[in-house]
Amino acid sequence: MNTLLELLQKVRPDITTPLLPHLSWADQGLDSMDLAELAARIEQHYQLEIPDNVWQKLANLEQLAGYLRDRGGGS
Amino acid sequence: MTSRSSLVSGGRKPGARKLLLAAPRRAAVDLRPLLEAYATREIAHSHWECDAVPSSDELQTRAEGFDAVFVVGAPGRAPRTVLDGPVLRLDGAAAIPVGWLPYVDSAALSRFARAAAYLHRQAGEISSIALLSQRNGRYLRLADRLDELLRDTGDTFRWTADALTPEDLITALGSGLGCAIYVGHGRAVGWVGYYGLRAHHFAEFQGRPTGAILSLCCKTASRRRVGLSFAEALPLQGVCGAVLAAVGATLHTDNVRWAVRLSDALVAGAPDVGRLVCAALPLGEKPVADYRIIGDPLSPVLSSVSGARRAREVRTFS
Repeated sequence: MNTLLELLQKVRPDITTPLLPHLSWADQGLDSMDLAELAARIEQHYQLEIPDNVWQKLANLEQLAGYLRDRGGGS
Repeated sequence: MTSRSSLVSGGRKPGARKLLLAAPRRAAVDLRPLLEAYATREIAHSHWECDAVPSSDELQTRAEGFDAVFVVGAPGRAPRTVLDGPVLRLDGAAAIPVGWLPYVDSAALSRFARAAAYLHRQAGEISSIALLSQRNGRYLRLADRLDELLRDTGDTFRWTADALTPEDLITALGSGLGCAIYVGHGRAVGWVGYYGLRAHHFAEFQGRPTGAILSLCCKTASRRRVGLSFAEALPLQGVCGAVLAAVGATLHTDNVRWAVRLSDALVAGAPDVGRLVCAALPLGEKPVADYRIIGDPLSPVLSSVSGARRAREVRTFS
């Protein structure tokens, strides 16, 4: 989860309040552009491709971390 | 196909690069200024004389041992059918950048060769990058984000459609930049931004060429309903040394993937379009297969001090 938070911080350095893993991306203040960049950075970091149709179903940080764990990417 | 190959620039020095030129003999004559400029930068080229455009398999076989491949051939062939992507992937080897240019006529290829040669002779170590975008919230936002990501590279110029008129953009692109990145909608005929920028708008282009134009949008290397795609026309008009452009429709998310990775590679100091593209290749087949390098795959993306200075003098509305 710490790595994900670091990657998120790269995308939105202005978000300084602790993120709540179960809150939706929109409720965390992230929009589609932020999420597209986050997907790109995660793929680059973990060297795994996340298909767009899968990414769209990952509604929050908790689900994203779970998905990466299942793919063997850790979180 | 007749083919004959000769290594023109002699043995390979440490740090030197090696390019395979697959082109008809008469094309190599028109490309002479570029081939001579290669020699000044320790780029050895080997000319593979091809009367017909080689197949992907032939290119794969011939590309071994080279750092880049440049295919020049019949104008009836479209970028999508000549190449499978912006790189060749040999078994167990790093990706090799591959560029394509149609041999429309001697005058156009000579114009390209002079511009591309100029870029090699003028190449410096200055990062000067123009950020171009359609006047649309989503794309302006992406341009802003690229501006943030590229801030530490050197000079970035926000020449988005809300900041420059199309005429002023064309003039500004003659500054002699290392690189320009466009985000927005695209068509085979050109960019939707800047009230619809087309190749014919550059017909009177007299400026200095840009090292590479990264056209992160749909279709600007597509031949659909056009004689020549926008991405092919620009190098042939002497506007740039190379264009990275898509041969079909692309996904916005894939273009963001390219944008982020290209930014990181530029920040890391990629010196030419080939190494830039190889360092930035997204994961997955589709985002890669959508794109082609049009023009010189070794075109420098770093500019001279004077090019960056001229770009700084461009006045914008913002």
